[in-house]
Amino acid sequence: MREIEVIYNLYEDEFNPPAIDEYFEFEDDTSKKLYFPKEKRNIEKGDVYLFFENGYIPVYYMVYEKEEDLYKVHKMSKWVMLASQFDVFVKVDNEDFIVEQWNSFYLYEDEIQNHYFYGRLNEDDLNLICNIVENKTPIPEDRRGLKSVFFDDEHNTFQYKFHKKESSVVRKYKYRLLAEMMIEDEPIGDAENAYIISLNQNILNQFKIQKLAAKANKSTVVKDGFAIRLDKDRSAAEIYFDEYGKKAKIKILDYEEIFEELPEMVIIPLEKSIDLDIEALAENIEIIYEIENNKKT
Amino acid sequence: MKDVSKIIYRFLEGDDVKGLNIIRNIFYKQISSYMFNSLDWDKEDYFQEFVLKLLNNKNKILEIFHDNTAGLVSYIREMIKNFLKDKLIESRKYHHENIEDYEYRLESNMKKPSDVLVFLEAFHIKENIVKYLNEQDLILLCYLTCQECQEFIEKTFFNNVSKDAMYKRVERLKMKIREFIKSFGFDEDSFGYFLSNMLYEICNTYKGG
Repeated sequence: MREIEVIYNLYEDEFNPPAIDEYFEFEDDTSKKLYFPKEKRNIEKGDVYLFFENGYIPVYYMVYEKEEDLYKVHKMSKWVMLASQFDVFVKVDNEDFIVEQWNSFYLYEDEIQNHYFYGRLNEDDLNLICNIVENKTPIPEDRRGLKSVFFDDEHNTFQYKFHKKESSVVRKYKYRLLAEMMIEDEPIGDAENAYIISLNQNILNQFKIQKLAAKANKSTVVKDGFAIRLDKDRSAAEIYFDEYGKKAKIKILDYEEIFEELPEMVIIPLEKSIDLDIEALAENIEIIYEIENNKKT
Repeated sequence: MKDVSKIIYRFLEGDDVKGLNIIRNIFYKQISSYMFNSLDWDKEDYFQEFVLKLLNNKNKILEIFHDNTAGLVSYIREMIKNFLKDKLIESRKYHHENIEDYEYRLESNMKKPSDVLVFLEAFHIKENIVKYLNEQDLILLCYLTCQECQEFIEKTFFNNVSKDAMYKRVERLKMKIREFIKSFGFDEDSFGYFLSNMLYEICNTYKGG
């Protein structure tokens, strides 16, 4: 078996609950999700924390910035050998990590205060991450993971599988900002400057909600890689992308559009006469990312 | 239920030897997996080395888990996986032929953690490409990449091949190589390393003289 396959299998094993006999008597760590009285830390950009999802899956992250009542953080991982060209090598107290600069999610302050403080990025690494995230600076060659020729479901390299799994671990934390803003009933994003996708009537009609199902119609749907929200007067649907800023193609049935830099959010205007089934719409949205510098057909 | 995390914590503080047995149990469960069949040493030797590493890091671990020991078991489990992964990579590195020549290049060029994986993947590329491509393909690949081979190969194998036919052969070879990379899931960096540092061994056959 190739080494990378062994490494990937080891990584995947982290997602399996430990066997009962491994520690004589396994204790469910989730029972310890309690607030322990301790001194509150100042949460700073560049801090690295650790928590255990479901009580046993280690999740490392670096604090990036505060947005509303939430902290935006970027997932990190010690599985550096599974890193792809989108991940950045860093060190924390001489331990090798990657920062998944594409994989951000949101945590509340009291959650972070209950997590384990692991260390800090040094100033150089922090500046590098900020440049990459904010200014889209390319990741230097000696700081990126292995470059895949193909990076999609069809080819399914170990780096791609790792990438997808890493995203899925923190998916439930990704759309918290959206949920917060919906609760406050505020408009999300910069609607005036948002990118508009005009779907023709034929396509929209295919997602007309059936009368019998009208009561069950949702206004928000979260899928792998994006979320859709119907705005409160149902005059538009907003799609928020997980991995924006990259070159990608969006397909919705017959509609196709290529973006040199996928925006964070796009708006689909709707006629009020259409009761849109956004669950059905979400099932028919496809996002295909193009790998950086891969111009081959 | 016993709080095993607390027992391990007390072991690291120097107060409870039972913690070491729990760690041993977790360690042996991991190392007994089929994935580590190729490790060279006795399992106990690996365990001793792991414990040494653990104790060298104990101050940091005690600090991290001081207020809440709950995650310590999972943390140890992760530490063991990473330790065994490193041992596996080390042992596989030294199983390859002519390792002394490559090691010099690898160590002097190794800037990032994934470089050793590039090296190992390149060996797998080398093993598999000679089975995937036929001899004509290999000759063409050498012709395209090995300057010292070009004259000999051109004279011996491509003397009567038109430019058009040559172009078609090259395009077919490109497609085959893409299929090869796709079917094995190899990455671009490892393939590049193979082309630059290992393909010449295959092409030596076609240098002539």
